Amino acid sequence: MLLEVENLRIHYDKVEAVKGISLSVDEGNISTLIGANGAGKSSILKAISGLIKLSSGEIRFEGKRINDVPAHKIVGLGIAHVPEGRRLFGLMTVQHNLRLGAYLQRDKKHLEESFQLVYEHFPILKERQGQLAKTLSGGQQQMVAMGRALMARPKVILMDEPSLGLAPIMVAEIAKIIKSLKEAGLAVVLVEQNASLALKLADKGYVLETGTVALEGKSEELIGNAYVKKAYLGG
Amino acid sequence: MALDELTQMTLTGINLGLMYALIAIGLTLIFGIMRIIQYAHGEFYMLGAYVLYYWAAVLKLPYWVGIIVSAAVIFVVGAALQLLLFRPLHGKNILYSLAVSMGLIFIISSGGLLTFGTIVKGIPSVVTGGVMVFGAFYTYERMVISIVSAGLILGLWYFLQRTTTGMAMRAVSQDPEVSSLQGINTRRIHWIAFGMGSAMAAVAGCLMGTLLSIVPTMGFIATVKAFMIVILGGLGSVPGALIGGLIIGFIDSFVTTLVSADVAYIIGFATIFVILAFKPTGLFGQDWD
Repeated sequence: MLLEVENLRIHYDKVEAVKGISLSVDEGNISTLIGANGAGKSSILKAISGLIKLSSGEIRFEGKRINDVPAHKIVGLGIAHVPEGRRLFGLMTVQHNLRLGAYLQRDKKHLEESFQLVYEHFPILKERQGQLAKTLSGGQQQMVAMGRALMARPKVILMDEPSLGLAPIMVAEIAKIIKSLKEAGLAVVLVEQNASLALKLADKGYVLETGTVALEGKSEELIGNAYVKKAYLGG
Repeated sequence: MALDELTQMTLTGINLGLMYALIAIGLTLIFGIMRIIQYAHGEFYMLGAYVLYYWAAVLKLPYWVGIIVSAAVIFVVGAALQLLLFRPLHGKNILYSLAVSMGLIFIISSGGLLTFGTIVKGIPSVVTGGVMVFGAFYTYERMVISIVSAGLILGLWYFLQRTTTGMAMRAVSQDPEVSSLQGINTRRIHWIAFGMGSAMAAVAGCLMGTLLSIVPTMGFIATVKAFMIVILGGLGSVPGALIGGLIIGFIDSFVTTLVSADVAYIIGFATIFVILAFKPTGLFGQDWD
């Protein structure tokens, strides 16, 4: 097991946003968390990345407890986070955004390889490397956000709503890239409101409702589930 | 207006402008990265000048080494104050850090009066002579000071654009949370930036102190100028601080020569008000939440 979350609880002030959630992510697998706004999906990712404190529970990465690891030390363990809304460094070039993704990497040769890897996945970014990130289209910005995470050469990427606000053709493109990341051996935790897209991509799915896991299972089972169909797949 | 007079005012404008820019860039760096209003910034300018005074005038040690020593000492003082006083207030209401920096003005300048005395002091010049430019006498000292100021500003620009730590600073100023996701220790960046910003003010203090004279109360005026400049150029913007510094430097030079220093202040502030009316974020500024 690569990443495990056990009995996670998160409070914002006195409001409990996540109420005892457990999940696990296997190496080289895509797991998805689907659910409505406010179901606690993003909070779980932020807790894994050390951006918010958990009230109780445990997060383990490669068997080690990482609850109290500060945010800036998480990426070095092999966990990269693509935040919701891309959150690029808009006033910096594409190349500098990518460089910062590998901030901890000081080895020139290794860096060069990482750039090459990212440009293989996202050839358009090579053309745009000198451009300010804020001047890119939404889809290209999402690519930079994913590329930035990839620069860290992580074992798992946490992706928060990568399809949000993108045109359908771009969504398909992003989906293809997520698949190729899996083929390259990466694990992905995909948080999505677009449930049909997420379940098609994922090996395993968790349906979150108001801070608890309402349903979990293999994606194909969830796709066939009558409740999921009705509530999330518009069928 | 005669050509020699015009040349003199222009050279003085550049001279003053670059030194102002040096102080203002330090301030804008601190604001951009930490989002705190550092009112005691001018006090580091004053302390920097006194470090050089004791080094060069009292201990008779080499002048240029003294500037480096002054920058290093003030870097350490600034970084230490950030760790001790400002770090605990980080993320809290901006008024808390404002109160601390206001308090620092009085503690440092009164402490300076007690320690350094109230008598005006001078730092001996090391560069003598000069050259005639269009009928105006341009001292080599002012030329060297302009070159050093410009070199430092360029150096900082290069540091921010090209080095990993510089990039991390820009990243933290844009989005601290996402910066930490990249592995950047934002707390480390904070004390480095505070130290660097303060050291830049210290170097400006050394240069200005060499041209003019030094007193323990000189910091306040420097703070006022620095704030005029960063508001004019746009809070958090390094190019803004440079352009703003030059604008205020030119106003000070021209208006002081042609009318008086008091009128220079009035025109300086009036210029800021006009620019803010058309561009509330300053020339190169952005909207800060």
